[in-house]
Amino acid sequence: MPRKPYLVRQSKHWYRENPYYMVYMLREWTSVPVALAALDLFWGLAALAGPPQAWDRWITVQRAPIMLLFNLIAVAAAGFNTIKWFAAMPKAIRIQRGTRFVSDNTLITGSWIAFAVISLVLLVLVICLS
Amino acid sequence: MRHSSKHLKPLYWGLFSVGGTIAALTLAPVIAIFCIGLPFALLGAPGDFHDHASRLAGHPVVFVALAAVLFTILWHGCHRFYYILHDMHIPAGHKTRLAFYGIAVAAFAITLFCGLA
Repeated sequence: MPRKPYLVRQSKHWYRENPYYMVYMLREWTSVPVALAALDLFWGLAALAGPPQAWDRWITVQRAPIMLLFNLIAVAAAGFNTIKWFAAMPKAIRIQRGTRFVSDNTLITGSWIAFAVISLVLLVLVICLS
Repeated sequence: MRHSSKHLKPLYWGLFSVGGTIAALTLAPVIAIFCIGLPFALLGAPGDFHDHASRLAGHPVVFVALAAVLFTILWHGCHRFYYILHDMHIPAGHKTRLAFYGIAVAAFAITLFCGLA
């Protein structure tokens, strides 16, 4: 006897059906510019550690209009990922203190403070070194 | 095969969550500062930055650590993209998944080879 399993029919365009799913899909798609930016940064890191000519080449490529456009999209995508990642953080990490859990707001605020400190340190470091 | 792939899931998801957290904390400012601010001389001269930071970035321990950070970010992106395919009903099997992870591993290996050779 052949099996007749129950198959849930899900529309191919299920994520277009409501705004919540649209935001979910947009969030997941940020992974593409994020991954491409990581590849670009791999190159940048190797160029920075290499001779000045290698670094100049990387810098020149970043100045190309198409790369500027990509980098602007990548900043927006990475920023959107940051907002969503921090918002989801309390659901993934539960920190217990005594008999209570650390509140969601504390975790989210703490993440943003860490983000601000890291941004500031990087900014100061680059300004001091260039 | 099925058994061993299940066995590795904590590794796949573990690297994803490390990479996602690092990306959330650092990636937007890193792109803004290094890929936009520095090349357009908004923060200083890019050539001077190379003069001052090249030796530090080229130090084996620093270089491997920074490349490892980028590796987790790229892994996280590849991992998520694999699940996008699944969400969009595009059939992608275990081999596709391994090929995506392979891109991250290859980029890491090539960078280490170029930077440390």
